[in-house]
Amino acid sequence: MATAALNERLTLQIPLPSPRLAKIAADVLDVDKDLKPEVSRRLISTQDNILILDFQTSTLKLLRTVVNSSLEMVQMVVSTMASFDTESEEP
Amino acid sequence: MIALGLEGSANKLGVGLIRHDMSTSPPTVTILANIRHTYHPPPGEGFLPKDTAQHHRSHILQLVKEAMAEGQITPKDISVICFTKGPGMGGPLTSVATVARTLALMWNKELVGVNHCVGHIEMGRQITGAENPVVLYVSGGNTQVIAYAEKRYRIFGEALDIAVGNCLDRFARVLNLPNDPAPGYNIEQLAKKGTKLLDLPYTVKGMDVSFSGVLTYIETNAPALLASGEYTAADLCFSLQETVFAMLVETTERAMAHIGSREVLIVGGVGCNKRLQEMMDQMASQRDGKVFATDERFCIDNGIMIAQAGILAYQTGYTTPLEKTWCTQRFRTDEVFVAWRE
Repeated sequence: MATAALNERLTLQIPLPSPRLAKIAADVLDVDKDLKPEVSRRLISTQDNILILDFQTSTLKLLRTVVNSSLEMVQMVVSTMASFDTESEEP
Repeated sequence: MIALGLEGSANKLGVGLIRHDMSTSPPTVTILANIRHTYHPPPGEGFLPKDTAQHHRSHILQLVKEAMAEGQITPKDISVICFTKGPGMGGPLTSVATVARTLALMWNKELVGVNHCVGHIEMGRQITGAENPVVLYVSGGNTQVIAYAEKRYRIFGEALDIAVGNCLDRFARVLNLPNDPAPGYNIEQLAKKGTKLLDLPYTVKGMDVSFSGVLTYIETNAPALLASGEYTAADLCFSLQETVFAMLVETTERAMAHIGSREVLIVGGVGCNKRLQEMMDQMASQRDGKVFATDERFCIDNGIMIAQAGILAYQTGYTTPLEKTWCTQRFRTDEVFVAWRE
């Protein structure tokens, strides 16, 4: 079977309040691996306080799907941090 | 030692906080908080993964806040964060696990991924004090007859196709019963008014049971039966319950006979059903046995059972490393090494 070319690309750069939180977000999200890496891949990295999500898929539809579901999880992580981060409370 | 438990494998989102006071032997167990929020689709519909996941994401932070306030717990008091690894629905499971991971990394706590079925069993044991029962685990997603042997919860029998709760829930849709508080609950109430027993397919295969046949039969024939006036909706609910529950009692009895056990513990959402408990009790009494069941706080999916099963594993030194905290829709009950029992 010919491997699909992952021609559809998108990169999201999401600023978090600190490098520590960006790293936590990256570690949390990276646990869930790509369901079908042959057609849809997500690479997660950080640069200082920026969370970087790199998407590569074979079709636009797949790109939309994986970006939407990733953003739902990013939103969950960010709201959890906003509600419960204790380090920010320390003087 | 205090554990936070997060559960969201189906449409119930639960958060629990449990304390094990290790200064006594055995440890004194206290429930600090056990709260739940349920996603109810409109009558005639079932809950879909995407909507369920969204429900969980919308409510989980508020539930965690409320649980910690009720238990008067701050992050530093928590020893371990437990969450449902599986089995269940993928999106909902992952939404909840994502929160567990984030809290664990922010607060610097260990994580324990818990098997949902084992959570039910351990909470049932804790609440009822049953020593070594045959366990009937019955819910919308699972139907298993389980007994403990040599560090594993062994599956003696199970539903071959759909869970008994799924059968009941899908029949509730045919009757357009409300999903609030639960379709099974509404079937149970309606069944109490039933008087006429309809002969339905009864499918027990050795130690296993099958429900897709009886569901297809009753889904197909209900409209005509109701229209003819021969049977009421209450009669159909009554007939379905009597049939499927008798199948469960038969296979549970078979397991009891094989093991020589005199105790039955019923766990899972369908375990709240009083008629099932009554029928099981009739069988158990004939064998000089006893039935243990819990109330809706613990039968129905909840966070405290995850905290309980998680803390028991944690006490044996078990933790789940971050890279292994992914969720899985299939997770067999006997995959878990029950290190905390003899």
